[in-house]
Parts: sequence; C-alpha cells; structure tokens
Amino acid sequence: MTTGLKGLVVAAAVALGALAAVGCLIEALFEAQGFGRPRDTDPRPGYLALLALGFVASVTVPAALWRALLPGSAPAWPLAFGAAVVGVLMILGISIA
Amino acid sequence: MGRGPLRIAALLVTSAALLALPSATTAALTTNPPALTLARAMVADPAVVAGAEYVARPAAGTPVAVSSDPLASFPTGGDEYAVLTTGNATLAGTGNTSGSSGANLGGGNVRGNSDYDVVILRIDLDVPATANCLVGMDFRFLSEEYPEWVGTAFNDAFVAELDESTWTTSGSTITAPNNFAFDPSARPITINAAGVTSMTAENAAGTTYDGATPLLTAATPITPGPHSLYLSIFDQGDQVYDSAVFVDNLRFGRVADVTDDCKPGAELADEHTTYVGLGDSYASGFGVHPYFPGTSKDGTENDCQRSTLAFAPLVESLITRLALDFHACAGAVTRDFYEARAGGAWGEEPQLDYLIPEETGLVTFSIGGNDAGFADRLADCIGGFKLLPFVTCHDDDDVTEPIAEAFARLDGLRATPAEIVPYDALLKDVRARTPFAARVQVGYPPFFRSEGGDRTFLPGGRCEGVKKADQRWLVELVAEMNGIISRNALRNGFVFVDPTSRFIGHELCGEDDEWFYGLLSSGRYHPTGAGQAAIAAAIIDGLAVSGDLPTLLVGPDKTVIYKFTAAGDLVLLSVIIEWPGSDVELTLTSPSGKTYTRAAPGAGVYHANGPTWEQFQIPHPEAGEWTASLYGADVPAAGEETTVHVFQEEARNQRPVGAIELRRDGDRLVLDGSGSHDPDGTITSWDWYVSSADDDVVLQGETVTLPAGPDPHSITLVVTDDGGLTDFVTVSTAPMDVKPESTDNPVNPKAAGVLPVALLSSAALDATAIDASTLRLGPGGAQVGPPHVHSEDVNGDGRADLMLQFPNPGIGLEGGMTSLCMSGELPDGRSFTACDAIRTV
Repeated sequence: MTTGLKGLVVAAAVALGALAAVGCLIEALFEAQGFGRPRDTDPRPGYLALLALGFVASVTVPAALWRALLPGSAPAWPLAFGAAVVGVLMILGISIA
Repeated sequence: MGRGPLRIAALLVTSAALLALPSATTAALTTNPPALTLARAMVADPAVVAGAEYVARPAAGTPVAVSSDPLASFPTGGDEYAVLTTGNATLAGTGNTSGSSGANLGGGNVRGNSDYDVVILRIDLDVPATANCLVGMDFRFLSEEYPEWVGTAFNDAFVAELDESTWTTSGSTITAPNNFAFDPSARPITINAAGVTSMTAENAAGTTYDGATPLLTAATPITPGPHSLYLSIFDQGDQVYDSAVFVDNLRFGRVADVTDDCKPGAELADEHTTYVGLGDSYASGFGVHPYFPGTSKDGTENDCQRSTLAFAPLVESLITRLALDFHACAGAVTRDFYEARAGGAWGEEPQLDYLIPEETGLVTFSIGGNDAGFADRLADCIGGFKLLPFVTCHDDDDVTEPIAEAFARLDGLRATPAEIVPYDALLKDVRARTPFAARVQVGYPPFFRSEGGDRTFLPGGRCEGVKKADQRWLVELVAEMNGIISRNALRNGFVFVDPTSRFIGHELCGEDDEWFYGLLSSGRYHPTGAGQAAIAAAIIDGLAVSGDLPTLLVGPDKTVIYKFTAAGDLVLLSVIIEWPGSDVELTLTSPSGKTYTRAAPGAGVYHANGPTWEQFQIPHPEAGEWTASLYGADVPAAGEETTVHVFQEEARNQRPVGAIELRRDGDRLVLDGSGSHDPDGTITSWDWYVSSADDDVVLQGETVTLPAGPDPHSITLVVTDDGGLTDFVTVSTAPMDVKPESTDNPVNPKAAGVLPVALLSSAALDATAIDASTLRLGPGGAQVGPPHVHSEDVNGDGRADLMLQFPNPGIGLEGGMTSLCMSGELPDGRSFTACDAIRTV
C-alpha cells in the first residue's frame, strides 16, 4: 500500500470516527437531558454505557489505524481528530455558543 | 353567582373543622401574630414591608389573626391573609350559628368618645422605585351588627390611611380625612356603607357574621421610598358585637395616569383575580433561567422547570390585577390535565384541578406538542443515520406516521392513540371550570425558516443538525398543528394566539436574533427569554382583540335578536353566548324554521351551558340566515351585556398529493411536478429542495430544469395547496449511462435484443451494492436477471460500476422518446431515480 493510499484510508477513518463520536455525544446528551427519552424516566444506564463504548471505539479505532499505517506522524493524531470533530459540528450547522 | 365545587368543598371542610374544634387556634389560623407577620400576610410582595407595629390593640382576647383558610373569597393573593376584628378572630370562619357573635375585649376609647376595641396596625413600607400607586388592597368588611343596627349609632368601621392616622370618633360620627378606602359617599366603610360597597347577608356566606360588603379594593397615589400604612378597625357605640376586615393582596405598581388610574376610594374588586398558567414546556419557559424554586429538582422531585421569565409571569406583570397560579410543566401532555404528573411524585395535581371556577380570571396554556412527539421527532431528524448526508426524516414513515396519528387524534378524527385527549374535549372541560375567565390557547412558533436555514461552511444546508428539506417539513408540521389548535379553540370560544408572525426572522438560523435555543443548549428548540416575551405580547394583543365580539344588552324577561348568515357546506356551526353572571337563555332558529333550545337542543347537537355561557354545536347546519334569540331569564334590571360568538367550520382541507417525474433534456435533468394534484382545490406552489455533494439549492416552479452537471443526490418536492397544506415527496438520484460506449445513445424501440445500461459509482454511492432485483427501467418497467448483471469500471474512474443488460421489448420504448429513466432502491433502502438522454432510431 502506498503512503498516499494509507493517508486516504486514515483520513476516511478519522472523518468517520469524528462523525460517530459526535453522534454518540449528541445521543448521550439527548438521553441525559431527556430529549426523546421516555417521559418522566431517568436516563438509561445501559444505553449510556453503549454510547460511551461507541465513543471510545470512534476515537481508538482511527487512532490505532493511524498508528499502524502512519506511525511517524502519530503525534499529530489528537490535533487531526479534534479538527475533524469541529468540522463535523460545523457541517451539521450546530452552534457552539 | 355559583361557587365552584372545589371552593364549596374547601369551605365545608374549613367550617366542619372549626366547628369540631372548640380551641381558638387551628393549623390554618394564627391568632395575635407579631405585627410584622400580620403585615407580610397581606402584601403581595413581602419585600416591601420594612416593619410593622400595633399602634393600638386591646390587651385581652384574640382580635387579630393570620389565616390560610379559604373564606369569603380570601386569600386573594398568596396563601394567607390578615384578619383584623373588634373581638374574636377565631370566630370568623365558624359559620353563622348565632345572631350575636362577638367578644367584649374591654378596649377603651382611643380616638374620641365612641370607639371601642380598637385595632390600629401600622405597616412601614419601602415602596419600589418604579411605583407611583398603591394599586390595590383587597378587603371585605364583615359585621355582626348587620342588619339590625344599620342606621343607628352602632356604626363599626374600617379605615385605611397613608402616612398619617388622623381618624376620630364623636358620638355616632366618624371623621377620617386621610381615609382612602371610603365608600361612594366619602364615608368610611361601615355597616352603613353606601352604593356598591353596601353590605348584604350573602356576602358573609360561610362566616360567622350576619353581613359583609362585597369584595372591595382601594387604591391611592404613592411615591417611591418609605411610607406608613395605617389600617384601623373599631366598634362604635358599644363593644358587644364583632366586626372584622379581611385584607390581602396589597400591591404597588406604576400607572400611566395617577389622577385617573389611581383614584382613592373603595370599589368592587374583581373576584376572579387568579391567572392560571397551564401547559407544557413552551408555557413553563423550559430553558429560560432562573426557574421558580422547587420546579427543577432543586430539593424536590419536581422537574417542571417553570421559569420566572416564561410568558405567564410576564403576562401577570402586564395585567397587575391578576395573581399568577403557575402550573405549566415541561413534558406535559394532554392527559396531564386529568392526571397527576409522574403519578403524583412531583407534587403536581391534574392541571385542570388548578382551575377554581370562582377565582380564575384568566387561563393560558399551550399543549399537544408532546402528544405529537415533537421532541422525539426532532431527535429522529438529527441523530443516528440522519447525521449522514442526504438522509432526511420527512420521508421516513417511522417518523411521520406517529405524528399524523397524533394530529388526527388531537383533532378528534380518530379514536386512538387513546392516551391523547382530543382538543375539543379538553377545551370543553377547561370552559366548564372557568366560567368567569378569559381563556387563551397558545399555538407553537416555527423553529426554522420556511425556506430553510444554513449554518454550515460546506454545502449541505443544515441548521442545528436539521437538513433544509426537514426544516421545511418541521415548519409545515408546526403550521398544521396551529391550524388544528385554531379550529378547536375558535369552535369553543377560546382566544387562539398564534406566535408565528412574531417569530419570523427570529427562527434558528434566522436573519435576526434567534429566539430559540440551539441543539447543544439544555433548552434546545424552545423559546429564549425574548421568545417568551414575544409570546406574552401576543397574548396581550389577543386578549385585546377578543373583546371585539358583538355585544347585546339583554333585559329581564326580554328577548334580543341577533341574526347571522351561515355559509353553505359547513361541517359545524358553533354558537356561544357569554354574560357576566345570572342567566341568559339562547334559542337558535335555522333558515327553515327549525329551533334549537336549551330544553330541546336536538339530536346530534352538542349543547352545554354554565353560569356565564351557553353553547350549541350543530353539525352540517342549513345555509342561510340564522336567528339567535337571547332571553334574559335572570338578569339585573339594568340588563346584562351578552357577547355572541359564531364560528362557522368548513370541511377540513385535504392534503395535496405530490408527484415527481424526472427526465432528461439533453444533458440537463428536468424535474417535473405537474403530476401532483389536490383533491379539493388547487396546488399553489411547487418548491424543490435539491441537494448534491457540492451544492444545495431551493427552486420554485411546477417544472424546473437543472443546469448541466452531475446529478443531485436528493430531490424533495414540496407542494402546497390553496388551503395551506403541504405534501413532501423525495427521490434520490444515481448517475446512469445508457449504452456506455455511445455519446448520443441511439436506441431502436423495435429491437429484440438487450439494452446495456450502467449505474455509475461515485464517492457517495457504491452502485455495485444496489440490489438489481429492485430496478425497473422505462415506462414498461423492464427488469433484469442475474445473468445480465455484472461489475465493471465503464467510465474509467477507478470505481466499479453496475453494468446491466435489460431486455429491449420490456422497456416500453417508443419513437420520439428523448429520455429514459430507471427506478430502484439504494443500499440503504431509499428509493432513487436515474435518467439518461436517448435518441430513438
């Protein structure tokens, strides 16, 4: 696999990971604050745990892929992932203010 | 006027308890409290009380008390009120079992030679900087001297003075130049009080006293800063029989014209001074901090999240005569009007139970949004797979069907879901409990702009996670909901307040300040403080306009005629008359002479009447001139002003049906909506939401042609009919190439072989993942079998495409065709259409 192709695979994984991570965070926020949750019930711990697992996987899988395919640039990972998350939020048109 | 069942029950309970307990003290009555406690019990805002002192009070007995027992329309604000007597305050609520109740406390003269058992309370005030008027002090003077000592020297009295107490007695005379709570003859309120302040036995119902004034209020100009208020009550001529005054809801405010709007003197108080704020989170002010204590899990289970800046407190501040009883609750649904929230764990009664008929002067509420599942649907439109591009929620049956069912149920068109209470039934129950109130049902403001907002830096057209086409769908949902609310509210004589117009420009991603909280806020998709203020202003305006109904003066035993014309093809005619009290009877006569009366309303006709209103709902009424006859069955000699509300309900508008046809015009894609139709009218607009990877546009027109270029991924057509209802149709597209080896795609309709067609893969679509069995080509719907399907990179872009060989005879090709389209399902289940230009040979 060429370095360019590895870069493409890693970029795709980071983008998808950021999308999934944001998705898990939004779902967890909805669940915690009752938006769309069954009325007059407490947040479901099992569902929140599943979302937490999804969030961790969304971060670690692309990170592992990056480390495996582009080991030399691994330190740039947090920066790239953070940028991807911000990018996803902006694509979704969500105001952070 | 009748008393509400709950109030009567409260009075009975109170009386029974007091009769059963000979002790002078009950849990609800505190006798001889410190002056400061007594003062704070009677003011609307205890913060204005800087101090208090008994200037005079008999040394013996229990002449004063703070009470929370509902009695004689008290309390009128808050939970407690002050009781000042010339004898024994504990007798006040014991029922009228004696014609000579009282206690001689041995209190001697204080201000002359004929006053006894005198109580003078001084309240030191710190009047707010904005106030220019003591706008009201509710009181009722009650006496055992009535009626046997009326016109004699035994002239017990109540006096209210500001800053200086100067009243004196001499024989049967009372001089009180500083008194601002005087009767129409400028004399203190006594058993001889004149005009509207005169005593009657009925006014003392439930008390020990033989007579009482009506519920009165008095005002006087005042300046900001420190002042002293003196309240005095005394026996005159003897010390035997008791008199009392109940005082509450002392309040300050600002009036436009002190001379005209803050005149001293006692006048009738509006007894219906409670403003009951009910409803759901839009009414509770969810998201707008600060909340009222005890409503946000701050030490209690209650999580209603009632904001001090919700529209109800704001309306209360604008209508100063009303005191708010606020019970809107986040997450409330229609059945919460009948059942305690969370099984009672939140301390919330069924919302209808807060409507005390005798006390309620105004009720406002918004309800139904949670029954329709707005929160769930918004979450559906944002989370999960809807995060992905080009996946919309308005065409997802799992999202749309529950809403459609809920709307139909709220509108009374279906029997399920049973847990939703139809608006018509709910509003009738509200009316039955609020005979003296103005009733306001508030609609919902739209979250988004109709044309869709975009907060993204890349094409895609999303605002707060919701795509443009879905934003439009949500706007239409809110509009449809408001239509249902409006129809039911007007049918039942409620004021309907639609906040939509005030929110134009203030939607999420709107052009001006946003009046909704965004997705990441805890108040998401709910109005901000500015939005709540806008709703409050809309309510005030709505109440003002509601007074424009025809009003007729109906005299005793007189009949007044009101005529109106009913249009043809109505499904319902609703006629409601309302009057202040007593009784007016309504008879309706149809154009053919058929009569509808209280005694015989007729089969299939809904009829109800209460102490202030009568209502008929006649299905499928005759067209033409109707006569409403209003008979003064029990009205004062001066007559009773009666309003007439006529609502003519037309057949419900039927939803239009949108249809999309795609075709090729050379290398351009044509979007044709001419196949759309409206079963009961005409289609007035066609809006196209076209989304592709690098562009996102909204186009108008029955037929529109896209510029040459890559096909869009998603096309949504929104058709709107002449009644304002909309229908949404969405198709996805996929790039297709007929005869990939050819540029002008010549096809022979009469050929017997196969026609090669390629579905092309792109960055957003793996065409090889499409299930070929779902594909249909051309007007004949030709299908393709496995031997004629394979993967191949036909356009050399490095991606494998789906190559198909369709049997030519089944395609339905005809001479002159210029476009050939294919339909099918994408891998994620969405339907798609693909087209390419052809040339028949």
